[in-house]
Amino acid sequence: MRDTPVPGPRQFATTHWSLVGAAKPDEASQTHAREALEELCRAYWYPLYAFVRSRGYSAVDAQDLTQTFFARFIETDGFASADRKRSRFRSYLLGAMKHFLANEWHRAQTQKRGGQVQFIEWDALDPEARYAEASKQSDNPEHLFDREWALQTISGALQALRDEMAKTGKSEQFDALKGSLTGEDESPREEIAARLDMSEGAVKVAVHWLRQRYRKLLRAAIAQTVSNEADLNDEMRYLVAVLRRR
Amino acid sequence: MNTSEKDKCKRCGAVIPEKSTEKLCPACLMSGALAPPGGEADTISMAPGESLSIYGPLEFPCEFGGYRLLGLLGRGGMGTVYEAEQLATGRRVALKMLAQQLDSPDLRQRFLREGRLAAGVNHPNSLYIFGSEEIEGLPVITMEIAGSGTLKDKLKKRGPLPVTEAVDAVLDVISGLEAAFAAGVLHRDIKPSNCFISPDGSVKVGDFGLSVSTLAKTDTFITAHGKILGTPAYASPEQLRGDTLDVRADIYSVGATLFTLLTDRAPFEGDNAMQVVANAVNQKPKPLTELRQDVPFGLERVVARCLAKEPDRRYADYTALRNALLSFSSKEPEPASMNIRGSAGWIDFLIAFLIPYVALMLFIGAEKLIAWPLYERTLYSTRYYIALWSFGFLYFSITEGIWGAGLGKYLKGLRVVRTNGRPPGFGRALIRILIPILSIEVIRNPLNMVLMSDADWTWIQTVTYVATANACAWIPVLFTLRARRENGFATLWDLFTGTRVIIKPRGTVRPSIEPPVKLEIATEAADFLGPYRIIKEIVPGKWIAATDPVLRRPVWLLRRKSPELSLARRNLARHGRLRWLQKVETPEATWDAFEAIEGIPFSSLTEGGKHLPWSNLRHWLHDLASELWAATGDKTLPAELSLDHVWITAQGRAVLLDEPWPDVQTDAERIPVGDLAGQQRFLSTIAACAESAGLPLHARGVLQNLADAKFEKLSFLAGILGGFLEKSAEVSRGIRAGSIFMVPLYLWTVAFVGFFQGELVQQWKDSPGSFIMITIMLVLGAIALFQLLGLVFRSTIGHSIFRLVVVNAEGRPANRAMLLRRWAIVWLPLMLPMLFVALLIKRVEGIAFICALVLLGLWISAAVYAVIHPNRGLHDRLAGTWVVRR
Repeated sequence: MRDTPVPGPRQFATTHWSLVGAAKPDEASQTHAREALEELCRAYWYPLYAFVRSRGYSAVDAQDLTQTFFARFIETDGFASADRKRSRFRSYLLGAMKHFLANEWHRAQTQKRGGQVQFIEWDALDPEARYAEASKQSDNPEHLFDREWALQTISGALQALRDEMAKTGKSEQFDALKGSLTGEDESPREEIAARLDMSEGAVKVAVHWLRQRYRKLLRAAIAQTVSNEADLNDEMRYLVAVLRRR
Repeated sequence: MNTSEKDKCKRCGAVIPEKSTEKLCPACLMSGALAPPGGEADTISMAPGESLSIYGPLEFPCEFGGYRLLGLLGRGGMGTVYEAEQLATGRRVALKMLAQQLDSPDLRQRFLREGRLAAGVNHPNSLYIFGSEEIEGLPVITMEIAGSGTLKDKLKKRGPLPVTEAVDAVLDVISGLEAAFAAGVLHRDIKPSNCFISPDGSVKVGDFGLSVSTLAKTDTFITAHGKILGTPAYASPEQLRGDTLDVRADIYSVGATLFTLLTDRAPFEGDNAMQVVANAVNQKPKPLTELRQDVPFGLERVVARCLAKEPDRRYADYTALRNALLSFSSKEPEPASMNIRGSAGWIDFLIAFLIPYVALMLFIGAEKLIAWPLYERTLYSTRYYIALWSFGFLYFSITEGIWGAGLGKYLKGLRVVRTNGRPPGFGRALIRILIPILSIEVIRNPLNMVLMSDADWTWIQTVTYVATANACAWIPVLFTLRARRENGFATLWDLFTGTRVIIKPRGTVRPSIEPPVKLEIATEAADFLGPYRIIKEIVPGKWIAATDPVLRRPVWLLRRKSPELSLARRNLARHGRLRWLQKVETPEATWDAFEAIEGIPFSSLTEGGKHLPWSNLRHWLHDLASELWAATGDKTLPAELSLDHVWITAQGRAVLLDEPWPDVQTDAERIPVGDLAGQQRFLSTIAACAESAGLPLHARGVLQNLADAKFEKLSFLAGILGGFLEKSAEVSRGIRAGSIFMVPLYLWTVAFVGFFQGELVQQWKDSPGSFIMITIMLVLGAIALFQLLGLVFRSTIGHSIFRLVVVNAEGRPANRAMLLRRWAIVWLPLMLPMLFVALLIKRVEGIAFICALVLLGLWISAAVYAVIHPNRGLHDRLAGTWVVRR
């Protein structure tokens, strides 16, 4: 990850999740860690939202609860003592949310739950449309959460790759070659070469580059949520299993 | 699920979302990135729904009896198994045929017995037997088809399985074998190739070809011709020797299977069968950790124990084996909260330190134990003091170091583990206890030395001693302040030793039901309906109880009202529904034969408005929610349901009947369940049968959402209910006793010993009785005061340690006014007369003592009453409250 810098906000000297736990007590380090955490939470708010929705809460309540959850945890430094050796960000976040929901229910249900905090900007997103699709695919709130989490990491990496290529005017190339990212080329190379006005050899090279780049981006995104390289592969295997679960 | 084939990846079958991943298969996108750059792909081929390999000499498809053979599934010891379609029903089955060259009366007997034995087992983790017949002179057995190969195929394709995956598979196998054993069947041939994988990934035990009834234990493994049936590599030594077998022989094979799943090799190998047998009988298996580094040490021990040569040294039953394996399964360990750890810790602390303390006080005396070290300050003078602590240190380092838990943690279901899941070991366990104790002692002792100079021991010294002891006892609490859920509730000593306290995963135990009438098996001559012998007409002309004479299995025959059952219903193989066996035609009517399951109709459990404990009902609600969800998916749900449609099996499982049970006359409301609202209403009707007062707080919110029909998918509800099965549902007597007595007992012991030692030094020994009484009263007074203050938080120390909550008649947490009333009922009858008694003491001590004793006796009886009725003590009755789980 370090030899070829990854552009965009995802670039960190160390992974986010380990950064959160390892922040030194000095202010700069704390602020840095908190910013990293906030960014991480923003990236993964949706799987949690879907989880809350699937527990029977209405859209409004789910927004409120997800918002409060993040706000409260970031405010109270709930993550500062996170034990990154033992938990992955994904399972930690889900556990914390379950805990939060359990306790939240006991509080008066009518009480307004910190709705004044605006951590996630709902206007820009349409969680309900996404949820409507997502809820078709999973049978159980926790599976739903894991699945949405996996999709979130992939779509983040794909988007980053698309943006990167768009910057250098290669959007068309991305669209033509993205099918190769699943590890299987269905469309014949000659046809693509003709369409992109490239030689077949150049297409081969481009595919190779695209795969490498995508792999790096995705692994970097997931690396942010685990604590070491070994966990990274485990987590990826787990997410593959999640996506293949029926 | 509402996804068509075009939304699925052609390669791996995963669902492709409409948005978010550029219309590419997310699973392939993820697994593609697992490949190291430029290198070979990391093999994670787990293609679900993989087609079964078809090979063999026969040409497929071909017709055979009433079946169309579609392909060869495999060859076993006794015969060949084909994938087939039953022409009459369209059902896909596995058809097992006795190999022609083996056809002898003896083997034929054996073969049919397999069908009979396996037909007695009905469990999601065991392949179901549909029937047994003779086609073209050859006996065949038709059974459920799992669909995704065997564990052996999986091994062949992927090599050794990840630890959690292997353990999960074996846990499934254990469940299947447990059901078989409950039905009186020993499998005797468990190995990876006899464990079948279904499309949802669960594993089913099959091939009962070598099975015997547990009644016929001496049936030998080696046939009369000296031919060994089965695979010696997985057979227990006693089985290879032809000795008497019991469940532990199967447990051995389960261990051998797990060994193979983890290493891709059998525990014993050899160039030929005889050598394998010799090795299996004489040699020790290679330690797992030598073959594979990432196997946790504890798991190696479990496997080694299964593979012990002597049956006595193996696990005695499946429950023990399952409990040992659960912590290595894919369930992530749940960190134990500080509350539960605190209560477990106190129990261990009392055993480790209070017992030697009291013993030393009685035999050595306070002077030698406490005063000497303070005044003399030599190592020799502290010998008893050191002995006191050493006992406690030994207790913790041995129990937690080796087993991961002392008595307290064991009772609370907690385990101390290292971050790699192993027990901490002696050294780490010692450091774990040294840190909190030393943190107290290094402050307390110098403090005592400064405060108590060489003056005589007076009451001032006593008060100082007790005060410093009680103040310093809080020091370790400071080290727990950083413990949060997210760091696994790590305290300083957890962090320092790299250990954590987790809740030991446990399997859920279903409440079994004693059915009022056992299902009969008709053996005498009786009328036949099709192939079945009629036992009894439950409703004449409508619902008949009968027996399958070949498989000796009870069946129900239902007269068909509507046209043909749908194919989906006929093929249904879920635990939540009765299996359809076949159609029986008579001149008058058409009948559907269903398997009959021993049990009781749900409505008879709730007769007369009786309510059911949540600990039972939650299992059934979960079963029904899962079944409704699944049945909606494959359109096998009846249009209307009522409480009479619910059948509770003897194993405590809820089954949805297609027709209402006719034998009870209830006017249960018929609820149309065509839509989600109706389904939630039906489930809510079931949920309403719960004893509302005993309902844990965690369930209440979800049931409220269910009553308001707020769930958008039943599977969500099923998932949540599934999670509830892991939680404690009831306030047990032990928990209630703990919440009432633990804090007073602890405070009293500390106070009593504190006073006692002070008194002893002063040689003031008169009237120990009133002395005990006074200390008890002081402690109870203190508790009453604490509880009054606790009203601010609407909880008490005892309740928060044991996760209890006081609720009102509606089941909501009681408000402060109600709690105050409850408090007054508990404490005022004790405390007000006590004030009077205290005034009496000066004048007539004897009478005062008796009065106090009577009052205390009354209070304790009320407390004991509350323990006997843990949900509702006398004071709860008077205050109109209940105590439930949080």
